Amino acid sequence: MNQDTQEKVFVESFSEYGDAIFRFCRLKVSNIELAEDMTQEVFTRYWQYLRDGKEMTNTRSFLYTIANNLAKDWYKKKKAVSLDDRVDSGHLPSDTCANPEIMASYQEVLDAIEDMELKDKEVLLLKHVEGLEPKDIAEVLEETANTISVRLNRATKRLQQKLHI
Amino acid sequence: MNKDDKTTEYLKKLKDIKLSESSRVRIQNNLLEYARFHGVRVAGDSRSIEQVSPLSTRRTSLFTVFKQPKVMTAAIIAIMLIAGGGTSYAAEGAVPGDFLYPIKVEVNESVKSALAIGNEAEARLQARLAEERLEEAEKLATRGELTADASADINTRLKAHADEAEERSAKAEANGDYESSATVRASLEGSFRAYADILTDLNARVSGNDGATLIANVRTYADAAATAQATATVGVSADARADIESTIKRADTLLANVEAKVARAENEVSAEAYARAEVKLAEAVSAQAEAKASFRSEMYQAAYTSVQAAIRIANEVSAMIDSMLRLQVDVDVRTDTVINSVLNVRTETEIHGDAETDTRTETRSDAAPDTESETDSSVDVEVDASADTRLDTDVVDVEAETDTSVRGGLNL
Repeated sequence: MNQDTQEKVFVESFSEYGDAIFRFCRLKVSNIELAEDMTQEVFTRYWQYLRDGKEMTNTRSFLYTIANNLAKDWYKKKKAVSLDDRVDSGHLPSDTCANPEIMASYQEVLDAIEDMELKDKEVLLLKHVEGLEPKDIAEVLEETANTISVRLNRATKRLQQKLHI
Repeated sequence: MNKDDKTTEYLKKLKDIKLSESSRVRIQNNLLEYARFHGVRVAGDSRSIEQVSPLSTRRTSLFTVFKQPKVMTAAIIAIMLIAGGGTSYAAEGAVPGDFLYPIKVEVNESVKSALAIGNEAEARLQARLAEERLEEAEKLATRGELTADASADINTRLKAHADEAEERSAKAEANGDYESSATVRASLEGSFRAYADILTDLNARVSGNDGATLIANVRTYADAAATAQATATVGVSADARADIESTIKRADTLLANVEAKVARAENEVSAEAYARAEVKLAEAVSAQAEAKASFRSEMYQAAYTSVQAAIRIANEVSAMIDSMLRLQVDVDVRTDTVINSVLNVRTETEIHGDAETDTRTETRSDAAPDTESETDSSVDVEVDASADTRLDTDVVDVEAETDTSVRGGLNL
């Protein structure tokens, strides 16, 4: 594996999964800037594997796993900080989406799921938005597939009740 | 729709949360920089490749780092950023012979190329860079500076872009990515033809120009792109169908944009020039309608040919309008004369049976009607024959646009 090949794999992975990882981080930390930094950090760690010529069987799961671990670290650190220093919920950057209709539409979804438990939110995102299978979600979140299926089922029902679907 | 599908559909809105364009570029640049300074390790060695250079066995020296072309480019970029990003930005307007031109073609375009990942992105980039070279030729020609040397310089670069774009289009085609190969080739051909005419006019009009060879070459490249399109055969697999369908959709967007562009230019150009642009546009709209009809009748090869004709003509109109607007500002040339001669040259080329005409005829013979009179009839046929609901709507739209929007433009 030479530098050029690995760089290409690296940048291609970023093009392909950058947005999905950003969404995941965004859900975890509710702050745009921090989510962007986390996304960059996820890929920086991914490069550490690539530069050693390690083969990646499932890049996507791998990236989510790193993101999940980074988020855990962040929560640990966050607990040490006083409540007043809590990071605000980030505003959507103005150039993310020039179309106010789309912005309003996903803000509405974000608001709807805001008071749900993070555990519920993350399975809903990974399943319904990113299309991961329960066993893949289980791997990322270090749970059993069964636990994830149960959690997913409950979270989906809760959301449906909330939305009167 | 069941409950779970509804939930998925609702949550899918979250998919619109994406990195902003500026953040994406910033993060990607940071990542690349990181990757380059923490290079790939050689197998069985814990040191990075910079560190195994014979000149420096134990540590990275500046010399070894700078020996790598990519690091060198990164270093130049870094220096430019420190010196001020304005240099790179200012270089964007440079033409051959300018002090900043090397920065534009060697640095700015290498960065663009590094960011264009994947065959399709690179193909499109090369097509765009080819157009950029043609714009430079136009700029020089308006000043009477399109000398033999400048022409040769532009030609070398142009050929490299055209070859690379074709190579990548052929690769895309071989991989069954008909959408990319069709749109890249058709837009290249459209730009080549429009610029060949624009340059012919300027070459004759402004003294000091010596661009005949370049113009002849540009026409050759246009023919090559046309031949490549004409000889491309598409399969009837589901993938190929989906690709042709998305090519048609892409052409819809392109046509809408060009229509809007023509409409916006209405007050900037003479009424006659505007009318001629409209006629040309109607030709593109008609070819697009043909493409939809053929697609609906499951004549995929014909649909593919027609949609390429639509893209090519739309690009030609677009390049013509852009050039007209630029020329109006840049030099004291009456744009209607320019556009008239541009269109006259085209008509002559189409009438006289040279090699170019043959290729063009071949490209269009299946499906794309070439004259105004055919425009109306073909669209009528479309509407009468429509059966499929989804495509119907499109066809009816096209018909409405032929009559109204060609005059007034789309309300975009």
